[in-house]
Amino acid sequence: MVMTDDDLTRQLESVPLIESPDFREAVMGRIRSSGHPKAAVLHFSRRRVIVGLAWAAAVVIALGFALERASSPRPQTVGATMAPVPVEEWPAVTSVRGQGETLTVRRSGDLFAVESAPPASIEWDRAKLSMIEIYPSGTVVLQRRRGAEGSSEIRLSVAGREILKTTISFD
Amino acid sequence: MSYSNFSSSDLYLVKEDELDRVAVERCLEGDLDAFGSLIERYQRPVFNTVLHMVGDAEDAREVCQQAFMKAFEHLSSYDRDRKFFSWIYRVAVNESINFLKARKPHESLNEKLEHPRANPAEHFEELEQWTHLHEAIMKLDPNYKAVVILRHFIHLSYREVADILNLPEKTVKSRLFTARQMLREALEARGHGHD
Repeated sequence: MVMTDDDLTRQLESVPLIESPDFREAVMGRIRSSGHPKAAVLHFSRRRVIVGLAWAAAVVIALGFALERASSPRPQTVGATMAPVPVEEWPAVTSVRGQGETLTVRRSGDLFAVESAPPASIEWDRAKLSMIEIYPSGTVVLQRRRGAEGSSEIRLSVAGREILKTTISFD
Repeated sequence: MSYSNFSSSDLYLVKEDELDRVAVERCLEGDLDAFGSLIERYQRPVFNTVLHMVGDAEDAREVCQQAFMKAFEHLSSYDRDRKFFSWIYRVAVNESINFLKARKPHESLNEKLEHPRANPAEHFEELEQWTHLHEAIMKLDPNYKAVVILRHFIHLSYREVADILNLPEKTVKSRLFTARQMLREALEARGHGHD
């Protein structure tokens, strides 16, 4: 019996990737329980101290203002405090599905959050939209450029091949 | 595919590499969820690599977890000029090799890896072929096994395999050639091939 290199290569290449167990929770649990988060960010401790001191200074200044205001009575005004809405809660303006891939665009004013599942390469028109944030999940937040009008395309590609696209309107 | 309304200078592309870079930076700043997203992105190919290296699903699960833990612990020493995926594969392959060294020889072939898609009733021949292939792979030296798995199962380029294993491309090609020769001989001895 003789087996050619091509026969063998074909056999090897025909073995598909199989689904993996989900390690995320198990590994994150082990990291949290072992106290590693502190170790991982140890070299940022000086920066954290500076940020902490800046916060403390800001709190002292704010308290000073508050005390001054309290000592001189003024007419009361009631103002609502606005917490920023998380990106994933922005209303979806478009969502397209491919073979296992989803491209969703959420909008908040001039900001557009582009989500792809699974994470893939995202392309957009830089003349109309500028990137201001990438989340670890792969969500990219784009901001409409001043003067940009009409609409713009967003494309999703894997290994250089376009798999999904959608159009967002600036209206 | 038409890009007629985009000039190339107007295109901005966020690649997986960039997502990895951002996730690593976030993680080093203390955002643990960022590391979770890296696990999510790479757990499937890493698990498949380790599974074929160690040959047992339970062992692979443990080795994978260990590899991700190690990656987290050493994240600050990861060279960010290199691709994250090369680095995580390297950690996983090294963990697998360490595991194989520590494992007693008699344990290695007791539990066979099941072919992921073969149904024994309908595809007996395919299953038998796969079992023999798997046994032959398991008998390879881990250094040869790693090139076969990364190149043929994970479908990485020679350059990527070389980067992961920290070897010259030429060495990867010669190891792969030798590994395939050994696999062919083993399978021919089991009756596979043409007359």
